[in-house]
Amino acid sequence: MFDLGYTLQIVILGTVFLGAISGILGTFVVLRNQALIGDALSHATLPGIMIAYMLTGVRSLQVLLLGAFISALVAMFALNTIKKYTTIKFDASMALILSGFFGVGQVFLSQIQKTGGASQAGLSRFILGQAATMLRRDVYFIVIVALVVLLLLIVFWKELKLYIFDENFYKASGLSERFISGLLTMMVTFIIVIGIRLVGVILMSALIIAPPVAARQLSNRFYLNVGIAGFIGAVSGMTGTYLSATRANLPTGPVIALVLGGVVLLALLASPRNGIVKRYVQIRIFRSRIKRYRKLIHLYENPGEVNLDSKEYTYFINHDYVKVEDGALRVTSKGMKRIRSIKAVD
Amino acid sequence: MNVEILMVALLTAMSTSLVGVFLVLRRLSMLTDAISHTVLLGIVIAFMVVGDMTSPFLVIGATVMGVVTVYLIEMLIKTRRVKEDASIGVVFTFLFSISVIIISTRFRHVHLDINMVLLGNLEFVIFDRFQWLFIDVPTSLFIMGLVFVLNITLLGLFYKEMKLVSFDYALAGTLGFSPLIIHYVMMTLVSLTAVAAFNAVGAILVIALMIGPPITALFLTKTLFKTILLTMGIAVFNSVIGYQLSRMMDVTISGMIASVTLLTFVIVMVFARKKGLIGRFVHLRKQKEAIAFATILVHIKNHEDTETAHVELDRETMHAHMQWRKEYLDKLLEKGRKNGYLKIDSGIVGLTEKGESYYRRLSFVKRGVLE
Repeated sequence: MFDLGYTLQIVILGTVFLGAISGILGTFVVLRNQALIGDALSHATLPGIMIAYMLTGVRSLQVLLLGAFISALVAMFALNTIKKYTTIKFDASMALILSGFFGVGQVFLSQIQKTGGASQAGLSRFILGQAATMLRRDVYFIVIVALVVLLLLIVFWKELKLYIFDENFYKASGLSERFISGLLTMMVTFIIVIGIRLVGVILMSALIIAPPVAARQLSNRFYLNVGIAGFIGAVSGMTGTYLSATRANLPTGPVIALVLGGVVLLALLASPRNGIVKRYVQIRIFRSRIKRYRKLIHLYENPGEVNLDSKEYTYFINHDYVKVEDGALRVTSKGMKRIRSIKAVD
Repeated sequence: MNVEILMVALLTAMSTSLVGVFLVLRRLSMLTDAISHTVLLGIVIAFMVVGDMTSPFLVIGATVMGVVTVYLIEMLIKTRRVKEDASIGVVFTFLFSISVIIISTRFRHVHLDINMVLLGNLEFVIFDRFQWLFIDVPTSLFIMGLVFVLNITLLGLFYKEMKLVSFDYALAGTLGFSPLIIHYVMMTLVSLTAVAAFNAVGAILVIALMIGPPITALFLTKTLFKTILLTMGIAVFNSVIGYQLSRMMDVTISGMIASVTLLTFVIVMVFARKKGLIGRFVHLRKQKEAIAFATILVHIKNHEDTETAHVELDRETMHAHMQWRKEYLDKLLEKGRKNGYLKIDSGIVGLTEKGESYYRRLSFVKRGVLE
């Protein structure tokens, strides 16, 4: 029992760090409208993992991840080349790279399965991830990579922010575009590569996309977005790992993705800033007020056009919204206040 | 060589790439990624209700789920709180993880293995057979055949509408064609095709089959009809080569077909005559040279018959005044002289009659930009 508790602690440490850093980095990626690049790159790691295994014959995580890293960089290079020199749309090339690389990985995997012994069993784990078998060493590796990426983000914070919000101004300021986009790609690839072992290539994109999307609902400030996304990622990672440990056979990656999906839904609906529920209630109140006060607004917008003896205004006169002055109907200051509060919502 | 397996592969490749053409044209390629993953949830839910892996309700449930996915993504985009690609990423990972969780907790004993679902298994499609009267074919072949016929028929009937919606969504609406209905009919087709292809190639590789052939074909032709024909041709080519290679090397068929699809794309991308990388590079070089040559002509026109002409246009010092590398300028001057545009009189560069008329025909000179 003690052993299980210890393993769980180690795994939670890993998923918390992974969740936090992918949320933080994801904010940059999602704001650049490149949310699905993570999906493409994580699928594209597969052939690298397989080739690394075939070449070295060892199942050391670091070696396999190096292969994954190189493979993802090749995919990124291919995507950039296609984007720069051909007329093929970016999403189409992403779809093909994602699936084609995955296919190549499958070919190598089936080759390994045909010839390899028992040691190949762990390779297909990369597809859906398997957190439960993480070693302490693997988790430390994740923590170190996460800290390095965090450090890079802090050092190049200003440049990255400028690049994301105003690419042209960034270039005009004499800063190198190649450097910053390369840095961003490199960091995303790093995070994906350390993440696939935990949550698998398919659900890695959830970790990158969901926290920023939820954070975006809650704040308009960039640094707050980054902070909130990191926090959501960490908490979801922890919750997901804990929940998945409560029942046998519950895979960690999907549970984390589910928690993240729930958080996004909650943020969309219940955000105090611009949540769907808040907006819906606002619109309902607005409509009913318009219905009730439309005569008042009519009087305000067309002063002098309303007959003094119009019966429709008795209600407003009785409630002090309108008064009779110099033989004409006038909106009182209370009425003005009401009109302003209605118009503010629109 | 097993003809039945090859037939399934061919029909799958042709059906998927046929709908793929329109997906690519409408820039909806990444929707395939979402649909192909979430149909799994449809299969799982239908299976929970029906309790039979071979029931046709599974296909219906999965198809409906694909369309629901598209609807959810579009709803999310319409709230204007989430961008398009982020919506796709959020929705499909959410739905997909639900299905993985259900499978790994409830159906560990049933034949619904995650790896199978993701990768498909062309090798085994021949064992699950459809028998009716004197017909005895693999079920996959039967289903794929039906889907292929359906795709061909619907696209044939609504070719004009599909074309219109693909190229001008707004115009289709103005002309009273209801692009929304056509959009959802198409999404139903995509979803159904992805479901049917599931058995054979799985959720991820089906994307390569859908998107690969169309974007390869787009390098080679411009008209829609030719693109469709070429797409089908490429799909057939990829499947046949992929099948043969996989049998030779004894590896996964579906993975090999996807790999060949990627490879064909890369080869065409590099070597396509006009739009290929090599063609583009050659074109860009030529363009660069033409602009450089035009710049030389302008320089000569600016300085000929002026007091500084003897330094500005001297063969030996000209490069310094233009701030170019000497070797590059010399190469262009030599080329211009050989082709009869330039003449060099005692070291001073000038225009010939042919060079003068070329200069006057330059578009920016014609439009009077220099005056």
